[in-house]
This record gives sequence, C-alpha cells and structure tokens, in this order.
Amino acid sequence: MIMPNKNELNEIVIIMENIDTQLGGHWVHQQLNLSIKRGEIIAIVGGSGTGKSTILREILGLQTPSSGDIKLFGKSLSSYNMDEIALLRHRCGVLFQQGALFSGMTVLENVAFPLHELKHLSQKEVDEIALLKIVLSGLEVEAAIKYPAELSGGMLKRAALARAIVMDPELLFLDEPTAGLDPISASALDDLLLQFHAAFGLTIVMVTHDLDTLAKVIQRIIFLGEGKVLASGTYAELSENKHPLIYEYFHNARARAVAAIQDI
Amino acid sequence: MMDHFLTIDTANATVFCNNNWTLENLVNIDNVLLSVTWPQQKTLIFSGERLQKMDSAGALRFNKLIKQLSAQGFKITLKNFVPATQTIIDLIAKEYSFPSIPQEKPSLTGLAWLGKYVIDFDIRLYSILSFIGEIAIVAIRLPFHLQKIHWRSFFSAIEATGYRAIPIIVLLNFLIGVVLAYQMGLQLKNYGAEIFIVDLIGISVFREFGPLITAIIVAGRTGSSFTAQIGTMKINEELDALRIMGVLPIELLVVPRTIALMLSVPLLTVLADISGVFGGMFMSKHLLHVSYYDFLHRFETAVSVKSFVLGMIKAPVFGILIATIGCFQGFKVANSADSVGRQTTRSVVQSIFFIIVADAVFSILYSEFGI
Repeated sequence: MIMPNKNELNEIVIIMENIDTQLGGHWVHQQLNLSIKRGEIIAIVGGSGTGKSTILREILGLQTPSSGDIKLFGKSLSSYNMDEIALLRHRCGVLFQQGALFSGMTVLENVAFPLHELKHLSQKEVDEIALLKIVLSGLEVEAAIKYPAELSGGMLKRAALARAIVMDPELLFLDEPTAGLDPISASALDDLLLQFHAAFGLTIVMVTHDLDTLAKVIQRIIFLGEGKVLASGTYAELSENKHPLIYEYFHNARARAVAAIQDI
Repeated sequence: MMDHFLTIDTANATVFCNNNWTLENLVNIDNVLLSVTWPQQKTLIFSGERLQKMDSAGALRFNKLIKQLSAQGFKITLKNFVPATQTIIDLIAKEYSFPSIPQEKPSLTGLAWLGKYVIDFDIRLYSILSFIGEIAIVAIRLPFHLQKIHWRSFFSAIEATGYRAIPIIVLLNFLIGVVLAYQMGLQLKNYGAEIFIVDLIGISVFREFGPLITAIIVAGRTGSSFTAQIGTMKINEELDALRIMGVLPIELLVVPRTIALMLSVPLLTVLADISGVFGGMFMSKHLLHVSYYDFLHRFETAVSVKSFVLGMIKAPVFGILIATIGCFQGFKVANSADSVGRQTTRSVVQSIFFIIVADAVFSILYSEFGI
C-alpha cells in the first residue's frame, strides 16, 4: 500500500484519452474520455455491449484500443517497457468474473502464486501472507487447502479477491463481483470491499449491474452509452439525470425498489 | 544495518520503526529482527513517526513481533502511526491469530491403501460395465426407434473422424511402407530374393500395419477429441441440459460417434493398406530394382484376399474400442480444466493399450484357427 501523501490524494491514476475501439466490425468506443483519481471507488455501468468490460481489459493492457491513449500512474501504457510492465502488474489486482482461480491448485496455492514470483521469500512467509489475505477475505482457514471446484460461488469470489489483493495493489479491478451471488453473500462482499478500501487505500474500479452495490459502495458512477461517457456522478446525481438511457437505467422497476430501500 | 528498520532509544524505552516495512524488504527486516537486543524495561513504546510506508506484509511481520514480545512479558503501546497504517495493524491484530497452515490429509499407507485401491478398482470396473451396458441398451433399441437416430451428429462425426483424417493416414502409411521395404529389403538382398519383398510387404501391411497404424492415429486424433468435447460439455452442464430435455447423452453423443468410428476406421484402413503397399512398391523399385510391373504381377499371386479380410475384420473392433474409451473418459471428467487434460491423456493411453491387446488377441485366435 502507498501512504497517500497530501499531494497524492488528488493524483489521477488512470486517464483514458480519445479512445476508439472497434470490436467485431462495429465501434464500441468513440472518442471516450475518462479519468480516475487515487482512492476513488468507481463503477462503470451501461447497457450490454457498451464496452464496460472492454474498458477494464484495455486499462489492464489485455486488449489494445484501435486508437487513443491510456495513462496509468501518469505514464502512457505503450511507453512502459517489459520490466516496468512486470512492476505495474504488482500494482494492479484483478477479480475476474468467474474468479479465474487455477483449478489445479488449492486456494492457498492460488493466493500465494503471485508471491512466488518474488523469489526471495521463504515458503513459510509466503504461506503466512497468503493465509492472512484468505482470512481477511472472510474465508475459514480450512478453506485454504480446498480446490476451487470444492468451493461455493461466494467462497470462490472471496478466494479470488484474496488473490487479487495479495500483492497489496494500488488499483483493484473487479468485473461484476456480485454477479451470481445470493443477496447475503453479495452484501458481505460489498462490506469487504469497503473495508479493504479503508484499510489499504485502494482505488477500486468495477463493472457491475448490482444496483445495491451501486447505491452502497460506489462513490462515483461512470455511465457509458453511445460509445462515450454519458455522465459521471453519484447514484443520487445520476438518478436525476434526464438523458433517456440514464433515466431508464435508474428508473425501471428494479431501480425504484432499490432507491426505496436505500432511501434515495 | 539495524538503523535501517528499527532504532531503539533505550533511555526512553521507545522503538522507532524506520523506512519501508514492505514486501520487498521482508527478508531484510527478518535479518534485522534476529539480531535485536531489546531494552531491559518491560514497557515499550513503538513509534511510527519515522516510518515511511508499511504494507500488509510488513504489518503482518510487525504484528508477529508484537505478539512475540508480549509473550515474553513486554507491555507494548503504539503511537504516532499514521491512521491508515494503524488501521491495517489493528485489522490484522483483530482478524488474524497466526493459525497454523492446515495440512492436506496424509495419503493412505499399507492395508488402508490396499483397501482403498481395491474398492476404487471395483467402482471403476462397475462404472465401465454400466457404461457399456447403457450403450448396448441404446444400440439395441435403435433399430426399432429409427427416428431417434441423430443423423446430423452421425454424419458430422464421420466427416471429422474419417474424411478429415485421410491425408495424415495416407501419408503415414505410405512412409511405413517405405520403412518396411527398406528394412526387409536389405535382408532379402543378401539372399538374392528381392522379389519376395512383395509377399512380405503385402502380408504385413494388410494383416498388421494397415489396421494397427490407422487405429493408433485415430486414437490419438479422434479419441482425444471425443474426451475433450464431452468433458467440456460436462463442465458447462450441457450434459445435464440434454438429460432435462429428454435426450440421453449416450444417444446423442456416444452412439453416433461409435457407429461413425465403426465405419470410418475400416474405410481408412482400406486407404492405409493401399498407400502402405504403394510406399513399399516405391522403395522396392529404388532399393531393390523391382519394377512396378514385377511388383504388381507378383502381388496378384503372393497376397491373397484372405490377408486383406483378416486385417479388415480388426478395424471395426478398433473403432468401437476408441469411441467407447474416448467417450467414457469424457463422462469421467470432474469440474476442472485440469481434469479434462488428465482424462484426455488417459483416453489416448487406454485406447492404444487396448488396441494392441485386441490385436494380440486376434493373432492368437487366427493362429488357433490356423488362418
């Protein structure tokens, strides 16, 4: 974790400038611009096919936009060399939608995997650090020796989260973290994210459709539509927005139910 | 070295944490902690005012230190840690009690191992037999329920396992013919019996090499793909979806594939026989100077149709073996990508094993009946 110094507090950690992305013959992003500050909890929302997950993949360097520039920690992604990319990987944690835990390894081995890349640590230290993250993610110690196939959906997400934060990343990316979870597990995961945000000073960027998460966890929502960022703001701000796409998103039956509960 | 991470102010019983207590420095921190002499006073203050950065790995090490010192009777207070660091230290202190790493269950030994092995073997045998039984029931019912035959699945299996395998089967058997002619030709040349290469090539290719090489290639090429396809479908719950829709997976996936292989392996074997003989013929001309005319002229009298038929009888049996083993291993896949790989390997190894066993059984039978 980086201690947020005074000057770092307003530091912009992610910038996407004039991004165009072409996927399967049609333009997903057209002149998309966004920036994310250190310590923010951001959700990227929008209808299907608006390129939400694509944004995550582009920031992570798994996919290259057709044109435009992406800056991480003030430096353009294309100008990072091999060694710097490796270091950059330690500063970013990712929770994939299906968890993407390695099925041939136990939870402990999965979580410890990134630590082993650091060669100099002893096995005991590696296990201790990995186990700490497993426990902090809300799993029982006994779950550490289980294989991913033996875990329930909620436990799987927690194990994957433990692996995502094992290197103390500054940026945490989550792709639909609460999808497929029961409301209790989903709510517990929300709390966990807030706890990690407070303790580790994480900057969290997630793609989610979970309106409860949007209302409870997220500080700023980035709404995608028509290939660009249509609006960004808090849940309350966006639900006042009159743009038809945004209005529909926040005023359909489900959204109204959430708003009633959350008293927004 | 010591000042790097800890400074001890003995007079005030204060310990200052310095520098970066981070993952990268963990080894150095450990080294420092080994050589520390702690003050005599039993109340210590740990101060974080000179600390630059402490990540969770560092905080874990720090908490461990506090725990060890407390166990030695020190009373410890923390001061001047920045709130974020204090939060991590508190969080770890609250949630993490340094549990021992759970150990996986030790593997069984001696009698227990033997017992488990026998029972596992029993279960395996039972599942293989019930699988064969299931195929048999579906296959026997099939002629009476023609509308239940999945023709699309059958023809696409024929295309994938037969048609698309032609190039590799032809090429490899041609090369086998070349190799055989080369090895045997050298021996025959010593006796001036070059023309008998025709008998040797004809009979060995027709009776053994054609069917066997074809079956082994099909096992590697098709058996493995059956296992991987069905295994992936199982992981995706597609098999369950089929059952729910009233389609037996065996009916849709196994029976068409088995019948397809039962037909396409013999057809491929015919091509294999022809290209094997051509390979031998080609090499005979260049090595032994037996002309194509002489070769074919001799072939007519030296190699009987019987050799061809005896080889062809084996082919459908090999086909059935490959299809059932490939599909069976596919159904055995458990919920992981790992398991697909393991079962695919097993499928190929078992297919080839049983092909060779079956081939040996045929040899024994043929010799018993004197054919």
